[in-house]
Amino acid sequence: MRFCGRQLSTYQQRSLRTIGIMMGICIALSIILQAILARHSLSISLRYGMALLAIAPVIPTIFLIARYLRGEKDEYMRNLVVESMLWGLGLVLVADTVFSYVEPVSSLGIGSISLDVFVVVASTALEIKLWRNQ
Amino acid sequence: MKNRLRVLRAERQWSQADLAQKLDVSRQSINAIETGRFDPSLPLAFRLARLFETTIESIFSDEIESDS
Repeated sequence: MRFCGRQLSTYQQRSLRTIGIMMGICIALSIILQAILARHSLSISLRYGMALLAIAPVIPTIFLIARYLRGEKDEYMRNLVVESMLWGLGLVLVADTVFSYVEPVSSLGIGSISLDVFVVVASTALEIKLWRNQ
Repeated sequence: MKNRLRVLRAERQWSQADLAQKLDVSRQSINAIETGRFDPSLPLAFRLARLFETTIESIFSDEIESDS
């Protein structure tokens, strides 16, 4: 399996696949739950339940990423992954701050995009970093 | 930090991929070290020194030290 022109080790392949699947579940769940929230008027307890459901796959994903980082022998790769995740986190914070000011007065209806932004930015940053260092 | 990795590798006619394989790291890691974008950890520096049968100091040098 190749990623950005780079041959991945079995450990990296396995980790990438598992983390990718978990991220996919997180995003799909977030989209579905947001759609339900937008269409139905739910009680506060149901909203809490949905919030718990939305974060359920996030926590195992964080553990999976931590386990991958602990086991990654290639320290440069580990460095790149951490840097990329920081980019993702940074942009999520920026986007969240901007939207918290804009959303109440705009008709954008952005909803919860934090996880999607994080996944897209972190994986793009990792690809760019690997591509720059071909 | 400066290093002589590219020279040592060229002396042995190893490609970056060859060296990466011997050290069990990615080729990008070797490239990043050679170009000075990444300073390896002490364990990796020891592995490099052992592989090239030399000392860490003969591969890596502190820029401040070499400038003076």
